[in-house]
Amino acid sequence: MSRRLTLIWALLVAATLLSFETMGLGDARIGGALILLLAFAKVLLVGREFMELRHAPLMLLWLFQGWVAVTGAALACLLIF
Amino acid sequence: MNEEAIHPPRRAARGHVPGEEGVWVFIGGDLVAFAIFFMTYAVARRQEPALFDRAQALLDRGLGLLNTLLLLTSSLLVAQALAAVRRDDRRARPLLLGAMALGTGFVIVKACEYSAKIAQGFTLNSNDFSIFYYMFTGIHLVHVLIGLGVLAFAVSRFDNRGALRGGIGVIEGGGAFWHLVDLLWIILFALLYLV
Amino acid sequence: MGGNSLTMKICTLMGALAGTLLFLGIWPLAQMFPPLPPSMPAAQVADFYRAHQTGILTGGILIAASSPLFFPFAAAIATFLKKIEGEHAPLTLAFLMICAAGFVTVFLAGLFFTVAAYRPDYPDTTIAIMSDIAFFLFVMPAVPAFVQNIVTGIVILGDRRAQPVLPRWLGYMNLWTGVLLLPGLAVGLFKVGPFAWNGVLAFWVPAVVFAIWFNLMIVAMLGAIRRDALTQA
Repeated sequence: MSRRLTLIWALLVAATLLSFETMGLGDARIGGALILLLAFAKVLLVGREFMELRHAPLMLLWLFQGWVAVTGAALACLLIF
Repeated sequence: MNEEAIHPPRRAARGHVPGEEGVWVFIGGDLVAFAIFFMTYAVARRQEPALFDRAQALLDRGLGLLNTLLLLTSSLLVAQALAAVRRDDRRARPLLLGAMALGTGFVIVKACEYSAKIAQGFTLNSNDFSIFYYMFTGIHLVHVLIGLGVLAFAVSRFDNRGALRGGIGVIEGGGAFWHLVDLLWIILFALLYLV
Repeated sequence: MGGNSLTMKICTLMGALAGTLLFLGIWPLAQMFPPLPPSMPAAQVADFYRAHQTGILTGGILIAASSPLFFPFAAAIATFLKKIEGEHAPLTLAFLMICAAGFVTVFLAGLFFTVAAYRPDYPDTTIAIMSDIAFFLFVMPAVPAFVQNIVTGIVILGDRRAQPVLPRWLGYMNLWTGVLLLPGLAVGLFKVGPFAWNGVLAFWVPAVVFAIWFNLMIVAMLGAIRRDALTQA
């Protein structure tokens, strides 16, 4: 078994549990921003590590990372501000 | 099937596309479409934040969390299966079967969640939030079912001794699709259940 | 096989002609693009038909005329699928039946636009009902289109030749198109919002995706005809 992959999975689970606990923060805006940030960080990890995009040609990698950045930023603008 | 080596692809300085390139046509197209879905939702939520907050509070966040963990773990097993194939390790097929079992678990949890919601009177047309909830999770569920079919096809590529026949591209491409299903759910979970 | 490939080329181009006629009929003539909102009151719908009678009637002719021209196009696709499947070709037959059912709705949509505009003295609600039927005929076939695309994708990806008859990316394209057309199936449930028949997700996304699919199919099929894919083993 690949230890790197298992470690990535542990990070993903930790981020999931963390985003589940933000409800206790009180301020909905900060909580919402944190949830989105964690969600898109997880998406980045899944793409780079599980989908193996970090070994892919740079164009494919950056198309994906660009999608993550644009979608994440647009959702943050629409939902939080 | 191209008869490429089962062993790790020799990586030129940069650039191994996982699976065949066509898979990425689908994945890219799907990502663009879901980005439009997410934006549509965010715009609608801005117009009635109070209604969305109230309706979201009715969802069972525990089940959403459980499903997220199921898909994340399932994704891990698929990634480990690919690594196992590269090492010529015979555990690849059981790992894929495990991933399918977890994916099936996702479908069962979703079915329980839908029936509980409908029993409570929270149905497709209850309010503007419920429309998004059922349509998005429904479209995602179609992806999960297609993904299970893809994984089943990948499992069928192994012989009785657990060795992969044919190219590794099937495992890479099928795996990439399954991770896409996982990735989309991560955002749906955050948008529909948490934010 | 020069003559044969000419027939294939003509059948493929019929699809382009059909698409052009359909678009001209719906958009500049009938002015139904984008569609009338489902939430529009019957009286306003009826007035729209009365005010644009000539445009809608001629648009209806073009829409109805485009429908049969899609069939040679579907036949050309089926010829490729049959070539891939070989002697026993259940998916090709499934494709043909679904296509026949799906594209007949285009003819019927043109017919209902015509009926709705035909007698301006019909009561408002009668005209509105005809109009509703026409729009449902355009959007609800998302379901046959979904099945059709999935079947096409599966056949193209099942091609084991070293040089596939149709390129493999086209197979993935078909699967993607199928999934994105799917939201059209629920238009009956909504009158406003993204899933209504004029909404972002039930109308605009499927319309754009369908246009992309249609054009790429034609390009890929002409390419396959050019390299004589049908006559090779």
